[in-house]
Amino acid sequence: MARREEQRAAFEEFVAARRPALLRTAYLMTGSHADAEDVVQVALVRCVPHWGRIADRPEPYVRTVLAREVVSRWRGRRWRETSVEHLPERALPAEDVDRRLALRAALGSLAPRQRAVVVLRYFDDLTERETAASLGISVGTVKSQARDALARLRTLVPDLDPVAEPSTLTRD
Amino acid sequence: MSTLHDRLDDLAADAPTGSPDPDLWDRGRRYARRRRAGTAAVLAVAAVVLAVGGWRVQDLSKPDGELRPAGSTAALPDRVWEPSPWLAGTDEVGPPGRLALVELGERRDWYGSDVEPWGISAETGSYAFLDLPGRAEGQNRVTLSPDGRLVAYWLRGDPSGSRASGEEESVTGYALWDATTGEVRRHLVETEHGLSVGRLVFADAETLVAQFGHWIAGADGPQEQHGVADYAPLEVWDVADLAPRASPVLERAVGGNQIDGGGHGRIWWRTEDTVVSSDVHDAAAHVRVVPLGGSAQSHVSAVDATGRRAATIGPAMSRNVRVGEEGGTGRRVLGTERSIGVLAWLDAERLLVVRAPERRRQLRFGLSVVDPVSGESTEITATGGSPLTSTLTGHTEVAWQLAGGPTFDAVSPGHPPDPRLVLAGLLAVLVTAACVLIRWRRRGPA
Repeated sequence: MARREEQRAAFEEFVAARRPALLRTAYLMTGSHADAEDVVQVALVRCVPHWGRIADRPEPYVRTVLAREVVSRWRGRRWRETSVEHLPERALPAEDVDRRLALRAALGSLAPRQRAVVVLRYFDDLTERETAASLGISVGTVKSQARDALARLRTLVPDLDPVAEPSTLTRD
Repeated sequence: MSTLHDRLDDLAADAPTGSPDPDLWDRGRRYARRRRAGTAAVLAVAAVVLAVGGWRVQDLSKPDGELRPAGSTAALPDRVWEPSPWLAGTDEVGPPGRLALVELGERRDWYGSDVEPWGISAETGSYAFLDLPGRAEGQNRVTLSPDGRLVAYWLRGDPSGSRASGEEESVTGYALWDATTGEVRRHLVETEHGLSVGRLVFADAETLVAQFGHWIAGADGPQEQHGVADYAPLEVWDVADLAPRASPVLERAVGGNQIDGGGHGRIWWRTEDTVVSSDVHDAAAHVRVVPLGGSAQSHVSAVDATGRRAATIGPAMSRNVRVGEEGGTGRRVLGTERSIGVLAWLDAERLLVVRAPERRRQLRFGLSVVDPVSGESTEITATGGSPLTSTLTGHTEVAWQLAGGPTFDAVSPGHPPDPRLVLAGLLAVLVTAACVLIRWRRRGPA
């Protein structure tokens, strides 16, 4: 019982400390506040049964559950969504907002797995191997998905710094 | 210009910042409990399905009733069913005891099927394929002794020279399998290219007669000699002796005709419209010629203990039993229509005949005891169609000495299902359970 209480305390401490970071990752992956909050909540609840095993280093496991939840949710709902090949041209508001909206729209045009690869690789700074493990795919797939995603992002967001080339961003 | 990381960082600033649900841990515990309960339920359902399926398979494999106890008095069953091709063999279930009947049937395994002999125990009523050690695979026809104790069959082996053309394995002898003990007595024949198989017949319960030849050339021999055999003298094996003895005298009497066992110590063979029989122990003195008259159709005939009377089946139109007597002309036995073979002359007043007793069910052949004078017929063993029909080609072997006594109440043999289907069903249950389990465990918390 005492052990259970210890685990609960450790879990709540982790949630308090890391939830904001998880929400940022989830937001970048989903592009929606509601989805981000929901996905983070579900991922954390899913991790509770395994907490005894992962308590020493929970973050990688939680991120794995989070990333897979995002991809799996997209698979479950994609039938009622329509993806578009090109962003609609429209007038943009103020420059900062414009930059954020442009990137969000560009991310939204990627396939969920590509989006997850971009976020894990270039926002969470995971290595290709860690990204592959988180998504349950091969390193080769991570490379190809990152290459395709970056090519599309460069097209849709032309003012992105060329330093974002996959070769220069690969840590391992 | 800015890096992707900076731009993502900038966009992430828009992420929600609300406080966490204080109930997260408890929801997680409830989720874990629900997951465990669901897993247990799926596993329990799978276990129940497997248990019920296993029980059903077991149940199907069992006979439909109680078998007779081992060691019961040997008798013929009152009914015969065609067994499942997945019926167990005697290697698995052990010697069956004296056999009532041996038939050929389809036997299947995981990789294919073959036609093999199966038998019904005259003691217990159980069915089993006969796993006869060393049996030549191409020679599935076996011979049952009149008392049901012995089964004679051809043995495979290696000839001293090359194998005859077109033969995947050679026959190099024959054997007697004791159905009560499972013991085998083999007789190997010295042969250069293998034996050309003729007949193995029981002249009576203690005497086997073998008719065969030797291929005169192997596959590497002259083309014109392929398929040509020199007939060897008939061999007579008194089962009390260690080995058979050649009988040139009997061979001369038979003169190359295909022989059959007549019981009562005799063998017989057919000429155009007569049945000729000979005492195997004194061939020269006891050759009997019985004219049958008409154009007898069946080669499944019988001679009586004296050799002076013979019976066969008449022309295809009516298929009556036809009886002849030494010095006579042969006559039709009225009331015996729809007969296809005379298996034995049980005694002076009774024939054992395979026939369909009912006109409207002409293919329902069974064993009947027929009075050769009056034609009165009593069915003693009924069948469900296909068994005994191979009597048409002479492949049904009946322990006819048992036909004189009462029959026993037979029970239908088990019908073990195709184990490949059983395995497929097992896998289907496991895969379904695994899929349900995976879907269930992937379901998010409520």
